[in-house]
Amino acid sequence: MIYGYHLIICLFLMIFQTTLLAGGSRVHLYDLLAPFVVYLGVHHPPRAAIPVLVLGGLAMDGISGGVFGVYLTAYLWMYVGVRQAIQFLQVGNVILLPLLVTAGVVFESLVVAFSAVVLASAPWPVESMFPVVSGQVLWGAVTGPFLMLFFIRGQKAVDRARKSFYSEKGPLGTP
Amino acid sequence: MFSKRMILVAVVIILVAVNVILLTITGKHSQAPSGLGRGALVIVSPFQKQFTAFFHSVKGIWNQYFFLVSMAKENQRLKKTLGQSLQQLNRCSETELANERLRHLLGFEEEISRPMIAAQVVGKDPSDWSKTIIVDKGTGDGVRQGAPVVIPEGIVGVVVEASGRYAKVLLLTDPNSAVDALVQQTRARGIVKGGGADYCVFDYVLRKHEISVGDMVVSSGLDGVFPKGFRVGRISEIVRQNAGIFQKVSVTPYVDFDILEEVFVISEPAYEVSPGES
Repeated sequence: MIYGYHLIICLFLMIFQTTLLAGGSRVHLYDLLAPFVVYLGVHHPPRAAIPVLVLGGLAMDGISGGVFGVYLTAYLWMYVGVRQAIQFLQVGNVILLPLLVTAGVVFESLVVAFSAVVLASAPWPVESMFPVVSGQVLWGAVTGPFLMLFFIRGQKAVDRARKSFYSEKGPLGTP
Repeated sequence: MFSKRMILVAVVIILVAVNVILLTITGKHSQAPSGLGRGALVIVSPFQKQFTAFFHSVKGIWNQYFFLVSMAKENQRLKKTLGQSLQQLNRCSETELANERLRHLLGFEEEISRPMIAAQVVGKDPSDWSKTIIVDKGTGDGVRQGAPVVIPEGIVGVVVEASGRYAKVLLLTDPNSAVDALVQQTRARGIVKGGGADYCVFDYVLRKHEISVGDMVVSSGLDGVFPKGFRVGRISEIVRQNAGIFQKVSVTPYVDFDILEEVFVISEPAYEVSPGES
């Protein structure tokens, strides 16, 4: 059930940012999947998170025209980084959780920007990095933590639904 | 001999290095490897199409019933007429100039009418660093990789990947894009490349050519992708340096890529191989 929830959220975020939010080129919005990856890193072990990250990363790389593999790379390394960070950070803290989300957005913005400026066959000018990355980080710092809270609330709702479903069925799985 | 921590650090460094090498290799190709990109198009694009259709219908209801019914309709009609007029005007200018240059020739090449496939934009690139769109027509509708994409205002881009029912279009403003073009008035030739943001760069224009800000740039037809005479953009900036044989020219595209909703894919290639060639 939790895989289903994660895949639906992943697909929804992907579609939302490539249809509704992809309107203008003047506002540099960040990848909405970055807070989702941080959420997976904080709340889910690799067994539950890695398949979703691989599928999400490949899908994002497939629909994007950038360097293939850059989203997959960013998501996997970000997940590893968050798993390491929560070993010594108290992520329930009101300040640390938004900081972790912002750090995730910064990391992903820099990885994608690096791929476009250095690794791409027709690289972008280096000076174009600053406005894009700074815009994305600003948006990420302001809205990312709220997205994270939304994912956590959604997971609690899914857990409650699952528990009530099994309790209605009874201990032997019969209604 | 080595501590556990040192081994871990070494493994991470090796993994990062391998990762960067793999990205460098894939970065040299404009297409996703072994159909992975097409797979993503097949899975994600149907949802994008439904979402876009829903969004457009909500937007349509708002525009047509709640927000100045008559003005919205009139605006749509005028935009359509303006697009047709621009295309017609451009064709006339091109014909006039071509006639002046070629009137001494005895035979005229027959203009080949080329079928166009109307397609709707269902999704845009998630990244700020690449300019692509996804349209709802694919190989099943006759769209092929490398097909030019246009609208009445001008050139939009080129198809870089196509699945059965969807295709990915690389926009003119992407740094990977290139169109062989010429200035309509002076016939100065060069290559229009995507500048990344909302502009293009007109490369390889010789210093000896007199061009000015505001001149129209059209496709030359020599790249074998875009037919001749399609509007590309207007010259917005010229820098003539003291050294060098080329001048630096910026071009603002006629197409507003932020509000693209429908496009035309030209289904046949512009360059036709004659029967004698292999």
